[in-house]
Amino acid sequence: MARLLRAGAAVASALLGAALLLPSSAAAHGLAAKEDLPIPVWLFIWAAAIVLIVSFVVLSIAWRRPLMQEEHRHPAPGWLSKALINPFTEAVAGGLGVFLLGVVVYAGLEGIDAPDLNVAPVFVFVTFFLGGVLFSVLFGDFFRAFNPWRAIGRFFGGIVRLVSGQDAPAPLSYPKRLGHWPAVAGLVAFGWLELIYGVGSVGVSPHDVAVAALIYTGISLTGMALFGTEAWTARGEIFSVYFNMFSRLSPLAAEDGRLFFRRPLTGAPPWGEVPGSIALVLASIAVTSFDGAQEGTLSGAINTVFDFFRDDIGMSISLSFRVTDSIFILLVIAAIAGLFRLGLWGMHTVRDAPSVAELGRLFAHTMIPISLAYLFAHYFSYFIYLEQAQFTYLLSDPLGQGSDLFGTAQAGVDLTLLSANDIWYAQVASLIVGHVTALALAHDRAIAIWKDPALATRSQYWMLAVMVGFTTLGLGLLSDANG
Amino acid sequence: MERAIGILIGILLGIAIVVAFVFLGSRDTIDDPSIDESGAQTTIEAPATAPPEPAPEVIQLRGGEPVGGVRELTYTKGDQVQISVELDEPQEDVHIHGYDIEFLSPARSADFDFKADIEGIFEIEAHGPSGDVVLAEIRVEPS
Repeated sequence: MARLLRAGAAVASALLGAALLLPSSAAAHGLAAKEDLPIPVWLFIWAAAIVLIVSFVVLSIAWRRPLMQEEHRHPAPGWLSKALINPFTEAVAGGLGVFLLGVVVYAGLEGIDAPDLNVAPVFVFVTFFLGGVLFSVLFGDFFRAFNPWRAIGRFFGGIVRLVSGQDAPAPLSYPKRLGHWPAVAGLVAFGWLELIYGVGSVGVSPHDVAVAALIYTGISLTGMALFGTEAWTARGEIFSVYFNMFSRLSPLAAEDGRLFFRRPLTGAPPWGEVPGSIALVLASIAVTSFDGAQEGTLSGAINTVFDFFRDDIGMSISLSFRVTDSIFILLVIAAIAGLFRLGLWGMHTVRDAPSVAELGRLFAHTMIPISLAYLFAHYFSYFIYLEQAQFTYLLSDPLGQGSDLFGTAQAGVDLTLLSANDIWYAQVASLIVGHVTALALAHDRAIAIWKDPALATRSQYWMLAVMVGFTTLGLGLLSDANG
Repeated sequence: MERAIGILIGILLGIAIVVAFVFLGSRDTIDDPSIDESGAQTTIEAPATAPPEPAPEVIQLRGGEPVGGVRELTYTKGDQVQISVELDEPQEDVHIHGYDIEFLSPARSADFDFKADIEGIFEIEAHGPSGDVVLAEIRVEPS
């Protein structure tokens, strides 16, 4: 009883803390003609209440033996594996990846330099980056096959094998401690390019997207040349690592060319063992949070610092903007990491607990559903609108120079496809589902660590508080709770 | 037993949050009548001066800035939106995003008159000698 009261106090304080951070605005995105209406206060309150109730119900009826620590694999039929994964399909998928990379670079350099009329920005930031997450969750780690940089690396590896008769040796072995850290840095840089470098509502120009793609191609190929194609792809290449993270939630996976089914979510638990994993998932949450907060809660502080750099230091407008936002995105990352860290410290106070660092590795995967829910809630309407553009006028007229390849150049985006209510309920539902999934993963892990269900449950009050904090923050970022 | 208590605490906390927010929300409204949470109170303070057919909103562009700052104009879906943008110098174009209504090379004014049938927040923007200027934000709420 006393324990439950303590847990209640912890949750209430987490909720209060998150409520203090509530921003008040709809996120503005450069590429869409419309901003979503913020979630109304009454819906936000109900959603927060449901999150609390659901949390306690989950924790109270929870299972006492781990259910998600084993994958329980069922191999797919042999013909299906062979039909989907064979040298021919691998070559086609890799070739398609390289072709699309080429289209982005060509369109960015040669096409019209307007972000909404050139295929490059929408393809990279929406179709590829957001669509890739969706595909990974539904169908597993598909990007491994379509990864253009891996395809180029394997192509050159194949040539070396043909000429010399043996595998090309990698000059360096990938340092184990480096883990996912290159991908973490890359993910933050990608978010910075999209949200900060483009200077607010102006957006990144197609030309800059093409140059960034070329620079990134250079970095990837260098990494592969130094450490080997597969080693760099699995650890350092941003998009492989990022999409693989979300594919851990999928019931579909492949290993050694064989397709198999597993219990949903069971791919996630081993994910945190690689150093830097926790930083990767928290960086994803933080970049999305920053996007939501920069127009809301943080806008006042951002303006003050911006004025300081522009008026007192005398920087140009765009430089002041970039420096200011860079400082704030780092602050948001620190705040998100701090919130998670609080949960780890709390868990560490429970008897027989592993070290804080060990707990971080053991619970990193529990943040994947929260990160997914943040992405879905923030970008789902944006994705629906811009994919209409992607598959109509941007498909037929990718360079924005008046071509009409598929007869859809004149079609537009139907902004009435989603009503404000559709968007609000989808946002709230995704955050609640993400929250419950994260709690389930964390509880399952705790049961596996502590064996004694009473200790496991006690440790989870802390994670519950942290996750209620994240979910309420996520809801708050989308609502106009403080009017 | 513990389970029942846990569920009960969760539900009580949930109710407490709702009550707390409703309480805090109503106090805000009393402190600051400009918060449009309860339309009833504001209409009492401003007795029936609003005509049934509202006059067009007027936005003035002076020296590259909208007079009075970027205002947010709120409508309900289905309303007729009438906005008159008065210009101090000719612009290349004045347009509203989302609805894609555009006035090319307006010299003195651009008069918008359309039905609010897309929910969301949309910017009215001018492109001209002062660059890209946001004039106002249209907020269309569900009916």
